[in-house]
Amino acid sequence: MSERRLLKEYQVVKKELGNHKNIISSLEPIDSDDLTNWTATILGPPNTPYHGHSFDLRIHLTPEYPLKPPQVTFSAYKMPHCNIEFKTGKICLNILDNANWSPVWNLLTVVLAIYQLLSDPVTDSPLNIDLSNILKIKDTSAYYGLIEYYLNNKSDK
Amino acid sequence: MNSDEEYSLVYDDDDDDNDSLDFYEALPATEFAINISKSRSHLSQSSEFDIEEDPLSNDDMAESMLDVHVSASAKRALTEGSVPDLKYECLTTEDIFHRMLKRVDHLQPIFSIPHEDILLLMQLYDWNEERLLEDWTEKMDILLEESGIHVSHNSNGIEGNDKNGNIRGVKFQESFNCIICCEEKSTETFSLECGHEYCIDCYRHYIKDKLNKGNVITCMDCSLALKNDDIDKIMGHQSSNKLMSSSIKSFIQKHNNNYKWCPYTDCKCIIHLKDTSSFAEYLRVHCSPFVSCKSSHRFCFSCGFEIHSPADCDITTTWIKKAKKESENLNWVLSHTKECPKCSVNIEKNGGCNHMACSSCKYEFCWICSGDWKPHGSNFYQCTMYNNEDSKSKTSVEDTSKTLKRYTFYYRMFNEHEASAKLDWQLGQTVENKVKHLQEKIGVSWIEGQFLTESLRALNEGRTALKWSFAIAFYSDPSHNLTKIFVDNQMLLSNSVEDLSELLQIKNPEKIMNKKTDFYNKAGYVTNRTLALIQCGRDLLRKGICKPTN
Repeated sequence: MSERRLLKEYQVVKKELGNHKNIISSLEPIDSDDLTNWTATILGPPNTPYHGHSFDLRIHLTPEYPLKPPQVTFSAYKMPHCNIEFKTGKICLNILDNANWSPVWNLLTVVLAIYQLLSDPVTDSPLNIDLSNILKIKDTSAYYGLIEYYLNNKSDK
Repeated sequence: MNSDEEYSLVYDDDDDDNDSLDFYEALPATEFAINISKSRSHLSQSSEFDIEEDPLSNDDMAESMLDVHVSASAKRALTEGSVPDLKYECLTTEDIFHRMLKRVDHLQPIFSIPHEDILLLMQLYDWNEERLLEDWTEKMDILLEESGIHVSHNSNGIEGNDKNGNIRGVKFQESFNCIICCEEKSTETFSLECGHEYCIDCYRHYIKDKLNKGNVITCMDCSLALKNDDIDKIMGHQSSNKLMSSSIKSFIQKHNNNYKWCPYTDCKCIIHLKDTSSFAEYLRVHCSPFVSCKSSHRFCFSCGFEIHSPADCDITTTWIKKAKKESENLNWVLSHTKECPKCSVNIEKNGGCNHMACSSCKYEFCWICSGDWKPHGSNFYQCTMYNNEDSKSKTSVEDTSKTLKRYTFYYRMFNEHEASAKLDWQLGQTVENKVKHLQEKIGVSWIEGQFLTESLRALNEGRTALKWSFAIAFYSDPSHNLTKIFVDNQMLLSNSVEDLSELLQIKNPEKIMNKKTDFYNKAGYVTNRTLALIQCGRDLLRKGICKPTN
């Protein structure tokens, strides 16, 4: 919708990324001439099975942005998480939904919210049913084990 | 079988009637009443589900039949298989909204907050007064905050502005930097008491989409709600009406047991039926709740299709589904969508998790097992990706190929009559002109010209019954004697309908007047044949000869 908004976001991201160094290792447009497609890399939060790994995000801003939410996905077959579809990397997060999105949020808040989702999986709305079931019966060791298995094998795929 | 004799009797009687030209004027009511009461009394003995257990009712019926004027409508209601004594009203969204406004007036002394705020609360509670009152007495303060009427204490309002008393409304700013579009310009802005201020263009874009959703619209950065007045100020005069009407629409969708939209294109009527508790009972005896809206569109309240007698709702929906199955377009719908288990709206899953919320009735269910979501939230997931759908579809494929030939025949018949019904409808437009012609040219009084309109109605009803009778015929056991009688009845009605249709094509006004008795006779005959066919179809259903199979 607004060129200027995208430019402004670019500036804000450049300026503020330093404050989130241990969360987001990178957040930048794929091509600096096209501010509608971005990539981001977030770090696995401590005290989760994701710690020590990093995850790539793809962000696409539609022409309706910021009135409509950005489209964010993880890379396919890379992200074992209860609210993320393993096959596609799609994310089920309420703020990325049309009805709950607010135009005052920006790319930085979105990426931070996804980081938050890694530490706080929502078992009530799963896209990965196996992980969600394991979480529900609170089998922590199985949960860690399964996720680590997936993460360590990802280089094979 | 006894019933077969009964029918051939009715059949013979009517056949004789056909030969008598004076049939309609002299005989019909009594003659028909006898037939009806005969078959009725027979039915009430044979059917264990029969509702008419009162032995007097048959006599009452026969008596009312004797009265020529009452007979037409009474006969129709009785034999059409409509649920008797339906009490319903026809409304529009505006009517319902005005009722809600009256309720708000009524509630105002209890709440002692402005009308607009109550309206907001009602909207938030899906117009459910009882639940709102309950919560109100329990936790008034929390409710006022949650609903966004009062500024929330723990909201992250702009610092330092808490006590500055931000004024709700549109302002003009010489130089304003909107954080949404990042444009710096002199513009009108809008903010609520929370002080989150954005330029009016961004606000307009933000609100525009939300007007159709019917939910309460809040500030972009906090939960403070925009009232109707604010929306009108931002979007222009009476824009909030749109929001209110979409809110009422979602209210109707959520209460779709008692509220139904008229299915006719562009008809904005809503039928409200207070008591639907007896429906299940009536549906079991193959009676359907037929209703009629203000624009005299008649439809079935239960399945939402047009009047479908002699078929009952079961046959109708199975038939329609079957018809849809054949269409390529709907194959996609079937493979990519699922019906909402509650309101049957087709839902496409376009992403997100398996926790589905129907956009129409807001029912929450699981995409995989189509079950209610509630147990999923708290229990272990038991639904597996691979259910037995595969094996089911295999058998259904075989089934379809077996019956395809048979089906194609019946469906063609069904379609032909549907097409004819459309042509008849066009005919109806000219009939009105003809009546006018008669009045002007020959000086026929309006009431005398009514036989044309009456004939047209008989024709329409005959066509519709004929159309749906093919659904019945398709699902009936072809070897049974009663089915054969039914098919004979179909033929008779079909012939009589064509006769009448031909008669209605006459253009010359004098000729029309000369054939007035013909019109009466043929229309009356069509009506009687229609009712006989419906009655026969209902018997097929009652005896279980006609059963919906997928």
